[in-house]
Amino acid sequence: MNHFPVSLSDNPGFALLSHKPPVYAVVFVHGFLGHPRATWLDFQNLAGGRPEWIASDLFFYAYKSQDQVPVLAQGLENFVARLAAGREGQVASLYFQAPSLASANLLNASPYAQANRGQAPYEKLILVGHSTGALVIREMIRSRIARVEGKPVGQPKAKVDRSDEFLLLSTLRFFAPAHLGAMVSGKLGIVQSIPLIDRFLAGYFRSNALYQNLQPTSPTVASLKSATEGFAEKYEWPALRAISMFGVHEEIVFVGHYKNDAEDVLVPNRNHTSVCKPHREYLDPLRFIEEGYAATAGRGQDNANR
Amino acid sequence: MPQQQDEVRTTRTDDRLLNSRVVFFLNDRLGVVLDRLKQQGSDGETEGFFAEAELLEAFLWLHLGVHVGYFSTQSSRRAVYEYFPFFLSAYDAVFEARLLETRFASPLRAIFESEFSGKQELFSSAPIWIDSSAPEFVVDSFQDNLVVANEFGRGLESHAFLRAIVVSSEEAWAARVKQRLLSAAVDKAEPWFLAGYFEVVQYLKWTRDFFNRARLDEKAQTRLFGDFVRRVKEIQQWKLNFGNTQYRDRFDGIGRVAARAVVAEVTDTDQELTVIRFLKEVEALTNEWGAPKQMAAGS
Repeated sequence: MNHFPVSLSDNPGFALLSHKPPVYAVVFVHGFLGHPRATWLDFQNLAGGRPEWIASDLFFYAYKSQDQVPVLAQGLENFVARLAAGREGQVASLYFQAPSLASANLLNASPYAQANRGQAPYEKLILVGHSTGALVIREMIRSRIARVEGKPVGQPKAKVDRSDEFLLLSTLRFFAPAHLGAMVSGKLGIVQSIPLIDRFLAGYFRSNALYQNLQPTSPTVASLKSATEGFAEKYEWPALRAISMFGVHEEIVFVGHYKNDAEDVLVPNRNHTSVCKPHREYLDPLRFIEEGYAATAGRGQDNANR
Repeated sequence: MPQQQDEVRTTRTDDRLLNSRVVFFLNDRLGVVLDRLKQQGSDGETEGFFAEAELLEAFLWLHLGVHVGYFSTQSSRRAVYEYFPFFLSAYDAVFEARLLETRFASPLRAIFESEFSGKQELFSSAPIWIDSSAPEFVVDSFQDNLVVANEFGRGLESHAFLRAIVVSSEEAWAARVKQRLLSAAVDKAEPWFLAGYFEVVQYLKWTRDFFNRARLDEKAQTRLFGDFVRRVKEIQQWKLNFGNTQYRDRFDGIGRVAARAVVAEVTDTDQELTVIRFLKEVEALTNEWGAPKQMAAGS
């Protein structure tokens, strides 16, 4: 274990913080009725001693699968903004206040998170989304660029602040993203290689209200695609260009990408749920994110505006 | 790289790290359970002994974590001292209701009986690794299971679902669920039923997959690791009590409704057969959570 756990202060997700000074913040956003912990935990276990992961704090962000995507995106944006402003100290519960100790934390010690880890802000952000989580991430990016565009003209230095840059220079890695919408018909039974339990769980996902709002023609899906592709024509921000990985047995969302995204990565013998769950014999998801680390190298604001 | 990894390894025995894990536990588990305990009854629902049993479960996670070297013993004791009246009351409530023997396996009862009575110091009884410390991969396994079990324990749907299954009297269960099961209207009346059922199935599946993967490693193919896996399950068995006939009947009843509600998404042929096959797969999951003999005998 190269990381230690902390609770998030106003989110049921959690974080694994590095023992070393962190360079990267990696934020994982789960999908339909997903679980921030069970969905992503294997990443940390398999990352082992790889240097990029050791230099990363991993945040497993949670949301309730019942609100509209823009509302969920606002919550995530607030979370990422706090990471940019004050690292883990802004989002994590590093103390526990007990009744008998009104003026001190229960164990009366300085948090381990403050030892050995330095205080430098994160240099890079990697956003990892599964299913609806990817949609939430894309909406957050769209919303931020719309806001940056709305800032007063003639003040170029003020136009993009540290928080904007932190977000818009991020790398996006998606697993089975719902950015082209979700399938609302078709039987899950045709994919016989998937365990029946998984097919029933997928069937249950489909009855979720948020899922029902994700038809390809829904305003959420259609306008997000159109706006993101429009921005990608104007700006070079890396956060406008995602790379997605799908299982060839994808049964929940439409496989595909936005105009300026990289080509999709297709993985055999995987479905909507299993595509993002690495194990010893399936390290593709891990490598997929590690390629994202490489992609962050040498980024700066200079290349952001075309 | 080797130097870097050595540095990381050194920090793992740092007292501050072991303390920080206790703080994590307090925020992520114990604090949540204590809040529920304080608020119980305010939603008009009868908690029965559910919140008390959750608190005892929290103690057992802390206990196991101390034994495998994940938590600091000193900090864990300090944390329990802070809330000891709550733990003792919870123990008494579960004991008085004669539920201890049918909900907690005998090694766990022995922990309460010795450590809550003052006969032994806190966290001094029932270790799994006696002659040596637990291997590092066990410490890792403990963290993974704790983190996901905390998520499962915090889930509103799974909490409502399990609370109903575990503490409802026969009359309450009949009034609330049984009649509606016949008309398959239960999810409209109690929207958390289906969600809670699938949450439980997902958790059982996660646990099975996790330990199956762990056992692929030669170092996990030991009796002691088997004891560790059993302890992780025993800690939670009071709410995942599949050796108890009443519990299993209730769970299976909801399962049939849930499967029929979803099967149309899965196939349009042989739907009844597909439901049966699904329930068989779930049954295989629940069989891995066989109850202690006392529980099965008393059910």
